[in-house]
Amino acid sequence: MLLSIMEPIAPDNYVAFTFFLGYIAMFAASIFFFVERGSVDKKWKMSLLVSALITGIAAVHYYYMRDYNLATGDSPTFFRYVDWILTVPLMCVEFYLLTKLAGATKKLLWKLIFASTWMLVCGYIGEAFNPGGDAATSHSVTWGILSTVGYLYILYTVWIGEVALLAEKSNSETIKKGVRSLAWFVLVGWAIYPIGYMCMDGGWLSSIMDPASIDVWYNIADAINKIGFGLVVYTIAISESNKQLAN
Amino acid sequence: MNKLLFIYIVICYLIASVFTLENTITIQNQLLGSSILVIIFGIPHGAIDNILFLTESNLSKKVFYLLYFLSMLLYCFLWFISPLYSFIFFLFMSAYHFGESQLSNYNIEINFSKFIFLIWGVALISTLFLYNAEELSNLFNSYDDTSNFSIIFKYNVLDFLFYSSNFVIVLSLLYLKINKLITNEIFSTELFQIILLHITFFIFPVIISFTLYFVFLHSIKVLLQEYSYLEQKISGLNLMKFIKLLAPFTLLSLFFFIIFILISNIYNIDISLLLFLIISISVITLPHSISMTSFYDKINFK
Repeated sequence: MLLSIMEPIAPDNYVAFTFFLGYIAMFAASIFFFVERGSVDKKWKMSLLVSALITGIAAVHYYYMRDYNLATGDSPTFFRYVDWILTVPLMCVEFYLLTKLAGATKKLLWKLIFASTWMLVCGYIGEAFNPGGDAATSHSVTWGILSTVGYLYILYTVWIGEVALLAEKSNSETIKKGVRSLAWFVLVGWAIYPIGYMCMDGGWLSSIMDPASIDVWYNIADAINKIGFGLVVYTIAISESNKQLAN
Repeated sequence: MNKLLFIYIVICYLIASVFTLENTITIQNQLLGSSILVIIFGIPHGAIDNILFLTESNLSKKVFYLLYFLSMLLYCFLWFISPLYSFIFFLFMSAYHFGESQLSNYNIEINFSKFIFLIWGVALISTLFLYNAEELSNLFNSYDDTSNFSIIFKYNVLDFLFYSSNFVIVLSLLYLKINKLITNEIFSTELFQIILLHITFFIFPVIISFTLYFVFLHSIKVLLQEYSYLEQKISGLNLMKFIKLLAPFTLLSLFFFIIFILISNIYNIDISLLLFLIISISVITLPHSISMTSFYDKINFK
């Protein structure tokens, strides 16, 4: 019954295939993080819940995005940004939760949430409200620069600024290494998004990469970034909980 | 990632945005921006070789200056005899200098560390040249006295150097990591930086690409190392005092450069501006890189 109402995915439709793969992977990761909450110390439960929420929210969106893409053949920009606007601030929450014990304040949390929301809202305006024609490039670049300001702020905070300093202060090698691993995700993993943005019509790299194929890269990067992010948090939580037990 | 790498990424984003808006950046604007940055950071980073070398050294000032200017004169003479070999020597010398400045602060204790320095620099320069081969070849061919430099783009020499040096440098980093001579963090940062340089050299024109590397990842880095070394040697050193130390030889270099431009305009000297620039930079680089090797030996010894 279920198979009869599903749109078939053509073997060469890599966009739909990666949407499907992304959905399955994130759904599985979500269950894993949720179940593993029981294996960690109380103070790490919230971090794992947030990890489960990130992949869970993404799984739901990927389910819709796959259907949307199969039905229309278009890139599901709207659903993608709805997904990002919910999950990316949550990824920033992870930084706060990890460094909370070293003295991270709510102010840091809100600054990171604001920066990530700013980055995504500007990116969405740049991508979804592009007027096309002669004005396409200036619109795309203006909103691209504004969006990048948010990204660079997060990058600075996690690599050099407050989060990096708090991790250093935490006296825990696991947290230091964990925060550094998450910072690598922001630097390398998140770099795919501005590159993807530049590949759309009017963008600088539009002649290098077909805007349609960027969905494949987004899907792969999203899965690696979100699940990888969660796995790093999980590793820290397990390691710190075991230390707690040993003491 | 350190602050300089962060600044480098920010500048790359900004230049990419300008390229998107304007479609291109004119050669004049590229040269203008590059010259300003090189004057502010590039020339000063080699302007205190005397202080760095003579600190904790038995050599007298007179002997140092004599050797310094003698090496410059000798190199000028070499340029006079064989421009092509001088140019190739310049490329390899610069390669070693860049590699040394990139990797010296890790204090890698292995016998072939100097070979790794050279290979890192060869990877850098061959990548820059290979991705911008057409642009550079046209540039060299646009003047009679530099046209024979484009020989480096023939016979697949550049391709060989590009693939082999990049392969060897990644292999060397892996070796250092496996043998715990560098940390995972250093390994990841170095690998990331190599990839970043490849992207930069691939997407930007040669002048912008080289300026970005030379100013942000080399000159400013060296200036910071010099400042931090001198801070321990000179009591009460601050930014103003440091700038005062850098000023004399920076201004002297600029003075000689302007004088030459004026003389060449008045007397119509038979040398292209491009060749003059290459010769000037190379003869300054030779004693500078020797001084810096001594400087890195000192800071690593500490």
